[in-house]
Amino acid sequence: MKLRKCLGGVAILGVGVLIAGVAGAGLAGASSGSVTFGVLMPFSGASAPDGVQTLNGCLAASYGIDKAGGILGHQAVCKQYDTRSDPVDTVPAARQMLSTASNLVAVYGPDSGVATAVTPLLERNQMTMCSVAGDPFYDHQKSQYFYRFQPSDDLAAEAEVVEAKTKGFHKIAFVFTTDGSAQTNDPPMTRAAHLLHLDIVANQQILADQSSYRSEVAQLQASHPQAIITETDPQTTGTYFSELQQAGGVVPIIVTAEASYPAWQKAMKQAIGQKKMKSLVTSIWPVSDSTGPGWKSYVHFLKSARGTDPKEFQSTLWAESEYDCGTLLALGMVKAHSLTPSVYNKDVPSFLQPGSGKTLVHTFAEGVAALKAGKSIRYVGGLGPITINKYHNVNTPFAIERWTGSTFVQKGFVSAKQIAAIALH
Amino acid sequence: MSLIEQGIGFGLIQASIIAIASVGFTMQFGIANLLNLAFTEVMSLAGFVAYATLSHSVNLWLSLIVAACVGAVSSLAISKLLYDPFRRRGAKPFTLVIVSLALNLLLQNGILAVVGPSFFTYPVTLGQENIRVLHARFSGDELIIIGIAVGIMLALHLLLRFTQIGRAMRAMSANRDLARSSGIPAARVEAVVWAISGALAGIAGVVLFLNVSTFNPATASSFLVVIIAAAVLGGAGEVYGAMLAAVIVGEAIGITSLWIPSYSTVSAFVLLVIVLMLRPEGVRGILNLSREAA
Amino acid sequence: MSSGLSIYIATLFVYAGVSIIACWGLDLQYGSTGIPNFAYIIFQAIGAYVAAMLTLGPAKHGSVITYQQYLFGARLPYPLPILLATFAGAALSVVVGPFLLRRLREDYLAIAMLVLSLIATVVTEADVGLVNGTTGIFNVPEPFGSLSPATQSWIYVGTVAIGVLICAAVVRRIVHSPLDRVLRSVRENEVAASSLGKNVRGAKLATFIAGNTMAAFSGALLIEFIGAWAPSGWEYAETFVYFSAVIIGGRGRRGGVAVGAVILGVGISEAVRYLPTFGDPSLVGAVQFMFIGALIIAFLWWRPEGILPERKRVFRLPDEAPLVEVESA
Repeated sequence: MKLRKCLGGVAILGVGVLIAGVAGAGLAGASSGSVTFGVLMPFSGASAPDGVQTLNGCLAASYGIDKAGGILGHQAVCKQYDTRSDPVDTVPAARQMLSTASNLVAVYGPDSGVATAVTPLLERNQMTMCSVAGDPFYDHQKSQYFYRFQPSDDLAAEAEVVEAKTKGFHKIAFVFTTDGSAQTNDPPMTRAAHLLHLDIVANQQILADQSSYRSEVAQLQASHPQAIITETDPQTTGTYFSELQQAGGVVPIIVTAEASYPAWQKAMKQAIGQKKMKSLVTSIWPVSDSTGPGWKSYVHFLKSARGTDPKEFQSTLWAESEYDCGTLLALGMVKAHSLTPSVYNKDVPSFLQPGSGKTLVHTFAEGVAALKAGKSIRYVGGLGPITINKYHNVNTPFAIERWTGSTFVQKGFVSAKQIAAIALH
Repeated sequence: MSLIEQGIGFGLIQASIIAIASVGFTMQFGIANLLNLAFTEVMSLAGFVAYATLSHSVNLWLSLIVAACVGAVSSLAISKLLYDPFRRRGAKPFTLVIVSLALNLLLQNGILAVVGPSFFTYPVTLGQENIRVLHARFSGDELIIIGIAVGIMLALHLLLRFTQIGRAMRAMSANRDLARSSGIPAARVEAVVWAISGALAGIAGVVLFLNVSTFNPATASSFLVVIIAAAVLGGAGEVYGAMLAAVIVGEAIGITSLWIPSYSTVSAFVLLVIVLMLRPEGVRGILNLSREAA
Repeated sequence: MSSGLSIYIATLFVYAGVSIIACWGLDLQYGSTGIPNFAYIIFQAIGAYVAAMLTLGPAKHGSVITYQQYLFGARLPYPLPILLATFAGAALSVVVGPFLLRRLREDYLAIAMLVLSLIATVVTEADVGLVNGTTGIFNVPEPFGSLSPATQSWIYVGTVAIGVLICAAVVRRIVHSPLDRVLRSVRENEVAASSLGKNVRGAKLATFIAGNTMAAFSGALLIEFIGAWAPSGWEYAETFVYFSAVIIGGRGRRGGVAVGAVILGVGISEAVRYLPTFGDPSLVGAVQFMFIGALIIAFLWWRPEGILPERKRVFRLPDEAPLVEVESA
């Protein structure tokens, strides 16, 4: 039967396409003479916005790099590799990236949820990565190829509780979702609360994205908390807090860096209104710059690059930190005159150490110029001045952010001493 | 007022949203004998169209009517273009489930492709003040949601009881072949059922999005199993059963949320599995008896 | 061929092999017997989790906290974790089978099982102590870890190939046995089969167990290769992908199902990676799923028997003309 033979060929065709694609990708891809920065993040599924944000960081960095003439004459290209937010799909994505990207020099990502599946693979292949995974598992990681420019989730969680204590609250409530934020935040926050003698009057772990939370809200109100520490995705935030508002139970709220997402800000604003948001909402973020020349350059690159969303990402932490990480690695390549991570990587940490006699640079272009002149550099970019410790984890203090009506601004710092005192390590 | 009493009150609001949707779902189940798993995507589509109209300063009630029309038209189209051809071929029930799942995939991702993975909020502010009804306190929009649900249930009741088309629908739901041989125009009645249930889907979509305040293309689909739970519990095709079951499911979720919020919907899911396994006719048995006695 | 490319192709082969095993298991249940097991993915997950826990060792040993919480653990040498995980899948099927396998309308049963899958995901995420919640279990060491990545990957391809051959043999034995005729009669008309005195319950339970065992086996194989496993990797929609593979490939036929597994399990997801990015970064993902949805509807309409349809069975009676048994879709 012709039809059967025809369709039988579909199967062969499918496999053929696959092989052709694999072979062809080896030849095609970015034009020869360019180097690839792989963005190994989710671009589909619930975490797709995270991938888009990281991509924006990459695009901004690449623009800055290319404007200065590229890395050793090569243009920088950002290429997406969709992890689909699950470890089963991340491994083929990473392997495809490692085998078919032309001149892969560094990786943006991976994020929590897939990092543990794929970092061993990347390390074995001696590939540098600018990870955004907050897992405490990486607090003492030993690989020289792994960089994390956002603080560990544990530290971020502890900072929240320290702030609650500083503000004088004794009775606090936790509101998290079971799809991840509870598992990440609950243990360190509970520990911190006990160490600081705070009373956890309610510890809610709710299902995300439900159509209603009125019962949970009533439960919360019945426990009479003085403040709520929370991390919920934008949709859950909108539903939960609008119902809390309707029930008349909105009290001071302390949020994690989740509040840096414009989608979250919109949801909360719609839920409780501008007035309450200005007076009651505090967010704890790792300190980042929003005035310095490094940040201004970042915003300029973000606006000038193609395919970016400047309005959405000009003040978001991941985009800024990924931009900085990528720029630093590029500077490492310039200094070492090599595109191979095992060769260029060792110079990178020194770019963040302060020191007398070091030239302060804010962009890739400035860095290249200083390196050419034989100077040693200190890079201060989109995030502002940061340092990393021997585990390649960033050492930023935490800032207290307040809502102005259109954005969050830094109003103070969380006591680093206090955080260190209760930290496990 | 104790927490339990409050929980019961909240269950009612939850039940209102579930009721509108599950009545529509069960009507489709009854008339076409298939589980339309793409139902929530019709809700989503209508909800997003309403978002578009609301963003252009069309008022809420008009947008609701637009949503109902979108739901009706798309459900009619789906039934005529997709389900009917498969049914005419004698496709088995499970095949239709797969088809409807595939359609769900198509529609949800189609909406995603058009609007993007961002979050949306209806640009409306309803009454924020609390109004006392008996011992419970409800806010303005909570009352509106309950009001819409009650209004729809009443309208359906009047339709089924007192209009010719309503009687035809009940006849077909009870015994299709007998109804046809009695001269009832089966195809036309079916079309009406799809249209009405589609309109219900549209309204349910708007009400759901109103209630969650912030939504995205994936919001409606997480509601699917709850709708199925209520429809099955109430008995396939039983409109009144679905209404009752919606209250039961809504209350189950509302009360479980008081104790173990992380398992709130699991109570509804477990209820559904048990009903399916042990008593698939749902509460239909009980209702049939009482109707015959009347 | 560069080592990177070789490892990538090895990865594709491993994934293809695992998909084939998983789809054969589902085909035994649905294709041969008509059980719409929408909870199939749970058994693959169990295989993966048990294998992981039996490789990692207990969650807290001594004073070292390994950042993960899970129920139990042991440090067993390869390939013991895989074998025990497979057995775990079988054991669970024996326990839940009698409850789940009632004579129920197909679509009702499908929905009930789909909901079970959902419940499993919710419970896993809510109860962190079970299998480490949303974060999942990670850092599972690969077997033969001391060898070079390329060698190790291809040895694993060999392992999976052996697994595929074993499963092919198992399915073949079932297909060419009297049990198979019972299964098909159950699939076509359960009431008639039962009235003829066939042990319908026993037959259904047998394939349920056999299929789920293969699911667990595939899960164990997969996690030993990937090293991590989380609820995001086994959502209820995954079962739908396997069902699509069985339907499109051709249910009831090993070769067909294998083709479907390769196309849907590996082919489409990997081929999509080569599309140039257009528009919104997440657009490609959305279009991919739209394509799959349309593909399934198209196949169900124009070619419900699949790419490689089920073979007609011919039974020859001694002195008479052959009776041809025609299979329906």
